[in-house]
Amino acid sequence: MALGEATTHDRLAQFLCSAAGARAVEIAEVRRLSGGAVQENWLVAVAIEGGAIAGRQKLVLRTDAATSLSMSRDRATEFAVQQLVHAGGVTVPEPLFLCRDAAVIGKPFFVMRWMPGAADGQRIVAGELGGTREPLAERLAQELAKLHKLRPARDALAGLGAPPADPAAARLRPLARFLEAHGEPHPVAEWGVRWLLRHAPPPATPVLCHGDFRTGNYLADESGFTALLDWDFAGWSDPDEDIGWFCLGYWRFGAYGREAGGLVPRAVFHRAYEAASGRAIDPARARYWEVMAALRWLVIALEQRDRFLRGGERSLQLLLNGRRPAECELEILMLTEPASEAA
Amino acid sequence: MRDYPDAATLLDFARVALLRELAPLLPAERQHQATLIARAMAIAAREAAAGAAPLAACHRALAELCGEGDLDTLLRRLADAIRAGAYDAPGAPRDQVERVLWAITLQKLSESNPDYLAASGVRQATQNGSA
Repeated sequence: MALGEATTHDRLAQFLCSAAGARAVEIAEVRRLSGGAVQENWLVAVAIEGGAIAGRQKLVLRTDAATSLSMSRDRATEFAVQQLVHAGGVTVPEPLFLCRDAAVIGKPFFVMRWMPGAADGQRIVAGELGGTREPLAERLAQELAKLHKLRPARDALAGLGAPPADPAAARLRPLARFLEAHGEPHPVAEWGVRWLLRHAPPPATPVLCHGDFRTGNYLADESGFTALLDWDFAGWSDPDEDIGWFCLGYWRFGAYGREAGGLVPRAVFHRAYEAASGRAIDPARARYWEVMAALRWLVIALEQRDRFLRGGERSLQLLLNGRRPAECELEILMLTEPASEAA
Repeated sequence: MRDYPDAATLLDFARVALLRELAPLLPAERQHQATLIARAMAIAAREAAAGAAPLAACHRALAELCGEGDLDTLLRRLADAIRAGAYDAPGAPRDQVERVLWAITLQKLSESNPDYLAASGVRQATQNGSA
C-alpha cells in the first residue's frame, strides 16, 4: 500500500470522490514533489465530476515521510492550522480534505490546492526566482505580521496544546534536555543554553507562530511570492521567534551578509515587519531569538544525523547534517559575544 | 606504507570528476544528490589533508583548561562544567573558556564548511585578536 501503486490510487480516488461530494474522480497523475525530509508532498492531478471542486484540478497530497521529528506536528493538526490561517487571510495553499484513515494510502494525509512557484532557496537567494529581493522580503514580512495578528480561539487549535506562559523557557527546556541526554558532549551548545538562561526576556504573550518561517518554506515564481508552506512546526510562541529563525545563517543560502533569509539585511526586514504589524522590534529580543534559532537548528541537525546513525535511515542528506552544528556553534559564539551584545 | 596519491589527492580528483564530468549528465532531480556526494568528499579531503594536527591543537587547548584525559573526556568535562554554570560569571576563567570554544569551532568549520566561515568574516576578526 503506497502512492505510486494503482490499487492505492483507486482508494485515493474513492476518498476524494466522497470528500468532495463528487460523482466521479479520475486520477491523471501522481508524482512525488522534491524537498521534504520530514513530510512528503505528492502532486495529484485529477478530473472531478460534480461536487465542491469540479473540473480538472492540480492538488498536493501531504503526508509523513518514513520517520518523523519529535518536534513536528501530526497532519490533522497541521491541516487545522492551515485552514485557520487561510481563513485569516495568510497566503497559503487552500487546504481541502483531511484523511485520518490509514487504510487509504497507509498513513494519514491531507490534500490542498497546488500553487505555482518553487521553494528553491538557492535560486530565490540568487535572484533567479521570486523577483526583486527587497519587495519579496517586504511581502514576507507582511504575511508574517498578518499571521501574528490572528487571534484564533484556542479550542480551534487544540492539537497545539496550551500556550506556554513563558515561550522562551518552553522552547529552551527540551533543547537543553536533549543536549544533556544526547551522550555526546556539545560545549558550545551548552554555552548557548547558559547564555539564553541568563538573558531570558520578559515573557511575551504567545501568538500563533509558523515555527519554520524561512527561505525554502515559501513558494515563489518569476514575479514574486506565491504562498507560505510547511505549517508542521506551527505553535504558540513569541512572535520574535519567527523573526529570529528567518535570520538564521543557514537559511541565507550562502548570501551571508543579507541576514534576513538571504534576501535583505536584518534591519530592512525588521522595518518592514514593524510597518506591517505596528509592533516595534526590540533588537535585544531579536538577538535572543537568533541565538535560540541557532541552538534549535543545532539540535534538529543532530536529530536528523541520528536518524542515520542510530535510526538506520540511509540518507546522505541526513548524514551530512551531522556537520551542520559547527555552523550553529559559530552563530552562537558570534551572537553571544559581549562586543556584539553592546552593538 | 602507502603509495602516492594520498587520500586527499584521490578525493579531490574524484570530486572534480564527479562535478565536471558526471553531474551534467544527470537528470535535474538527481543534481542535488551529486552536490551532496561532492560535499561529503570535500569534507573528507580537507580532513585527510589536515591530518591529526588540528585535533592535537584542540586537545592541548582543552588540556590547559580541563586537565588530563583524552579529547572526548575533556570535552565532556567542559560541557558538564558549562552546563553546571561554572562559567556564568564574567572574569578570566569565562574568557579562557570562550577562547577555547572559539578555537574548537573555527577548527571544525575550517574542515566542515570553510565557505561559511569565510562568508561570516570571522576569520579576519579573530586574526585581529577580537576573539
